Amino acid sequence: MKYNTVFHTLGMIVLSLSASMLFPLFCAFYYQEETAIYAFLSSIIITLLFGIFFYYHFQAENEIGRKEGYVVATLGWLTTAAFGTLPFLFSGVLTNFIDAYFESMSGLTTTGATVLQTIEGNPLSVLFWRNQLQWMGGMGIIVLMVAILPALGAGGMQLFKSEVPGPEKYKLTPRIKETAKLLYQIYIIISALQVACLYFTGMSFYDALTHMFGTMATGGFSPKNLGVGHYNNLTYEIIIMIFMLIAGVNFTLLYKVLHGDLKSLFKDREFLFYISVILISIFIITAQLHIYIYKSILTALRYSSFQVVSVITTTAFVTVDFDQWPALSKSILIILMFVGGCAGSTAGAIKNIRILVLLKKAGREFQRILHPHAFTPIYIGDKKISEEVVSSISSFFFLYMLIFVFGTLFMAYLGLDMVNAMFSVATTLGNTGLGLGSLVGPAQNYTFLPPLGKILLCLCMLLGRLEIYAALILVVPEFWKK
Amino acid sequence: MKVIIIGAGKVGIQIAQTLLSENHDVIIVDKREEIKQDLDSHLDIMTIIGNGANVRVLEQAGIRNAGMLIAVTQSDEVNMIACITAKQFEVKKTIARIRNSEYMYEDSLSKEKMGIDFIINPENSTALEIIGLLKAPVNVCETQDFAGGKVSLFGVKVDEDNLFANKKIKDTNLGQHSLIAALFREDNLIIPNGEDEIYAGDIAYLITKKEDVTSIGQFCGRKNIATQNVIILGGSNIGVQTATLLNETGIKTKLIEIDKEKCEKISELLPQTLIINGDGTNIELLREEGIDQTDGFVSVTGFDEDNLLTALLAKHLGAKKVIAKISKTNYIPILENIGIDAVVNPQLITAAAILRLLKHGELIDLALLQEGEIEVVEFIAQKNRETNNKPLKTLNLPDNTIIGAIVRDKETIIPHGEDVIISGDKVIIFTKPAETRKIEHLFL
Repeated sequence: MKYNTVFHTLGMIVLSLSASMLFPLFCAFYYQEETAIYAFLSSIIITLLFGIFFYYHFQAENEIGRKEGYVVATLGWLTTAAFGTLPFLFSGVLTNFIDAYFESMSGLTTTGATVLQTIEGNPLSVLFWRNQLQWMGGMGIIVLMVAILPALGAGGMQLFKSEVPGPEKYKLTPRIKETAKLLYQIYIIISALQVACLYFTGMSFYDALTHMFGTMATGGFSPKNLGVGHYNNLTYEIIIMIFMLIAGVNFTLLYKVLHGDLKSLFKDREFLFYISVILISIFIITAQLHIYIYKSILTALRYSSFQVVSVITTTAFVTVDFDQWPALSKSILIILMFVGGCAGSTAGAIKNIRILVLLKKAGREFQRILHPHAFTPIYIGDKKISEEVVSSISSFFFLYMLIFVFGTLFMAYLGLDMVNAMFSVATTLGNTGLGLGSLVGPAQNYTFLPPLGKILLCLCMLLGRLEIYAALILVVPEFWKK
Repeated sequence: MKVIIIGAGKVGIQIAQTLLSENHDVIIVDKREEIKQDLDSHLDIMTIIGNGANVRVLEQAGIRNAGMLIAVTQSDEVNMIACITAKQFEVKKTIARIRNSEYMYEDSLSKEKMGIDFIINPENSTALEIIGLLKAPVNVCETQDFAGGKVSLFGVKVDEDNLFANKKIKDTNLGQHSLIAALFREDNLIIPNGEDEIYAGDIAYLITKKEDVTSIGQFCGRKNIATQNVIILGGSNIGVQTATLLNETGIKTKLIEIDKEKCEKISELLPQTLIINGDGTNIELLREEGIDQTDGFVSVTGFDEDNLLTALLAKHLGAKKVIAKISKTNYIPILENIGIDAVVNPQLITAAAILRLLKHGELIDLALLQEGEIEVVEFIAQKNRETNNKPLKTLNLPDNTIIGAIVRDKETIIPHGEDVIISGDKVIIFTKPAETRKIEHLFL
């Protein structure tokens, strides 16, 4: 392990984090929030000093290798979340480090679970920071590093691989740095578009910006107590829903679409699967809500479509307390929480491509029983999925479920009831941030969880965001052997 | 510039590495699926899996806005089709590796019609390299000419018997016309100063004026020989081409080939060569053919192991200089320690030849030594550069860099600290690949 290289790169990450705090600082000046100004100034200085120390004290020896890629990604996320707590602590919004770490990690991993009991009333700049963390974590702090760091060479690919979600990672350009830049460009363009849409339909600029952060990162933080439900405005809901939908699509695909290749959208099997799952879910839930709760079918459609998109993209904006919905509708939402968005998007959870491959693999077993000698590679569209990828997807699914099971057991051990235990883990592991139950349901927050539980959930969020292997490999003893 | 390389063999990868270090964008196309992951994690390139002659694959690789296409797959035909297709998309520069000399007749499909700007023939380049090595003294394992042959570079293996072994460079008395430009010791390049010592086991890179061959003879000690006769093992393309070139210079050649039918064909091609049908690994056969009286032994069959072992055997039986062709570069670092005088690797030679073409324009010449660990570049000093007319010792050269020779009109200078560069001079510089950029920045 080349520790110097690792710490040098971490220093770079911390330095950029410090720079990114300038935006909320500006916001604090604008709203003249005195405590927040001091909080951000001191956060910037402390982060900067640490960054400088790491960056200059450790000189990069050589290129980032495979192992270093994982270490930098995982430690990068842990440290960023740690320094991200400073504004919360200094401004007095949160007083307990574990709470602040939970909030910071939940933001960065775009989970959107919160320990704040009331959101409104806190300094606007701190709420801005909370949402900005989501936006940065959405496309990824490591991808940002790859985009701005000078030539990382092949090391950039190692870093990129350890953060970008999905079973297979593709470059858009020969140089990884250019690919990372392009991804951020698309991210920024679509983000700007959303801000414009919200702003010109009447939302204040601050609200438009913060909600965009929550939407594009599929995070779900909002500066309002009631989230998007606060406005009770159909236009906003439609705009936010559309952009959540977009953020759940593979950004490589979005790149092609933005470059005029609309056809590739309808050729992409994962996208089609994603859209079908959404449409079918909306149809069933709307029907059920219409029968049991809402007289108007349009009202049923409004709530069901927003909630379905919000949950499948793992955003978890809430416009209605769906804990009151009938069991089938609730169950569908819960299952969607495990499905998640597409690979290469900002959404979390298992991802559509993996579900699709697993479905085909399950179907293939029947084929094999009928024709024991059949040669049966798995195709997604016209693309063959190699056996290694298929097997790594199966293992991923199994590990995902295993972590879910053991996390639930641990939360139950800490005294949570079954529903709360299950959903607190499922929702953090899937980076959704919204569950069911008396503690973690749509109208609740995570304040009253025991501290150990919060730490476990932080780990679940990280594992979910880095798709398990990249983070978990660090606890394999052999990884550290020379 | 965007460069598409077809074929991720040794040649393709070596070229990719060099292009990357010069900030070009590289896309590699290869048929083999299994190499993708390995390539992606080692090089900052894009890998496309597919047939390089397939226009859809090339489109996927971005042929529409590529500046250059280099086709170096195993198949001549694929290379040619790739180049034709590339020209159709108006790619500026196309380079193809073509092995089969049957495609090279004057009245066959012309280069221009195929849309190939440069053709590289590895067998031919390798044969030339072998000839250069045969002509040089025994312990020379690499040779290269610069400035149109006015300056020669020799890589000399230093052994215990060498007069200069264990001496400091300043005590070597090589004279004004030669310079030890670099030492290669245990996989490290050393650009020496007067205080550095030469050890047995080093490879010393010596730059000399062409007319001053005595110093190289002196450096190599009593092992200087004039090659009179050569035995070639293996009737491959390389073997035949080597024999042809040797015959042209009047050196007697024998060629051993195991396949009878092949012997017949070869004998038509090489009327002046004695073709022997037999197994070259057979000691008796080698003895009969007078291996102990042979100046040069070259093994160029298709099998690395055969080549290496027979070369060792020939050396053991008394051949003065043995050269083996190998395809697996992994062996190279250990080979020169086991007694083989020199090895040639067609892939590395091809890569170097292509790189030379790529650099054409900025540089006049470029050579790669020790599998690309050392670069030797030759360029013409430009007008109005700060580096002109200044004593060399005051120039701020990058680390691991030395000016090996300056050629001014008809005069060749092996420079010392007080010499200067004047615009129009041909300058030959030794450096590490990582520093090439700085050199170009400084002088070009």
